Amino acid sequence: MSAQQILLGLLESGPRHGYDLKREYEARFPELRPLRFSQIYATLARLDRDGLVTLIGESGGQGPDRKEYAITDSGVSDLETWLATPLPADEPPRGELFLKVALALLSGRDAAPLLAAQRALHMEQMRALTRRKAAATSEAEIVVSDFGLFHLEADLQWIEHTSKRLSGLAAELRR
Amino acid sequence: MTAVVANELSCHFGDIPAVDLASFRVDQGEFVAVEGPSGSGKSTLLNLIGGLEAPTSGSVLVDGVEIAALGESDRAAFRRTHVGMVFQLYDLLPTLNAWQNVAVPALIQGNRLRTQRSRAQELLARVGLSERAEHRPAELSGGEQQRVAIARALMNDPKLILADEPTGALDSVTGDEILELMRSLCADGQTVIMVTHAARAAAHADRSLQMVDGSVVVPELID
Ligand SMILES: Nc1ncnc2c1ncn2[C@@H]1O[C@H](COP(=O)(O)OP(=O)(O)OP(=O)(O)O)[C@@H](O)[C@H]1O
Ligand SMILES: [Mg+2]
Repeated sequence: MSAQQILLGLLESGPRHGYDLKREYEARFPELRPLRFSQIYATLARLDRDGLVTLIGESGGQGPDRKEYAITDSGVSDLETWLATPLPADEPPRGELFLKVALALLSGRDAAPLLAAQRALHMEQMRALTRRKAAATSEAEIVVSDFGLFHLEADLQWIEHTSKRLSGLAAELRR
Repeated sequence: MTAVVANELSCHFGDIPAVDLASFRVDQGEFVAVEGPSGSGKSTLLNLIGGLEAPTSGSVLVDGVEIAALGESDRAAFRRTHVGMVFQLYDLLPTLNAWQNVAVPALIQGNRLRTQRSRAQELLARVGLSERAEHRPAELSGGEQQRVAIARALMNDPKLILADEPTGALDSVTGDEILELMRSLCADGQTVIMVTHAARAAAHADRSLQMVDGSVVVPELID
């Protein structure tokens, strides 16, 4: 989850304090992982340093939440670029599964138990998401559940296909 | 309470071990998926449980009864009252309307169609199809036809529902609705065993039995 783009996205509609940003983010996206205050203040300080936001006021008292920030022109263009760029298809944890299979085979081990265990874990997660989706009370919750479900489904298909190719893959890797 | 117990259950067709030494149990009220690749023996296993196929060795008990050991007429009667079956392609009678199709399993017991109407209507309401009672299968969508087929499977109030790829011909949204409907049957105490090769469908169940070349692997036992 990219704290930088979340904060820029919220600031685009008007200046805010860190506390307001946190509250608004959690109200709008209850399905997503919450942002910590420390993360928000650190990110705002970095965005300020990089010229993507600017400090427009500091009311009395002390502590980071006295500061009110506004987005700058370069902040808006940074946000626009991010919004227009698709995510990389190979997310790190998925690549890691292939790496584990490959390293297991390379070292003469059987990768089938790993794939079976991964399959069981994936199914467990799929059941949990399916429950969640069935009990969903908002469109957002359905869409977020589906996002997880379709990815897990793709992984499971990969696991099934790979399971059938283990001996060929092992021979190839040890050549 | 145990709904189904299989003990070293096998069904060989010539030298093809379609089901081979399968042992597992399913509790009353459970929703269990049977997963596995094409040809791994899922349909054969379901047919063995439902008494449509006889084991070549081993046994399977439904509600404590070994169906294969019953005589022909007892076996037919047991299946009619204890087991409801749902298939991928609904298998509705084209000349009957929805409520008449639902009532069919009761007719075999010598009842007149008219006398079964209120029970059939009640079941159509249960699957969300009250408005379609007078429609023939050709006038219903695939999802609606499958709801009729599920209502028909419930006609004799069997404790066990066996479903073979019930959502195989449906899109995923309609499939989800059918699967949640099956889930609600379990909440009412019915046992559902469903064959599927789709992980998304299996994820609606409480757990999965995984089939590989005729053998049943219980994933929970792997780790
Ligand atoms: N009546 C039969 N006579 C001979 N062989 C059969 C019979 N029924 C099934 N088989 C064989 O038994 C094996 C298992 O078949 P089964 O239909 O149970 O598989 P399945 O897992 O349901 O496959 P699918 O996902 O394609 O429906 C296959 O090799 C099949 O050819
Ligand atoms: Mg089959």
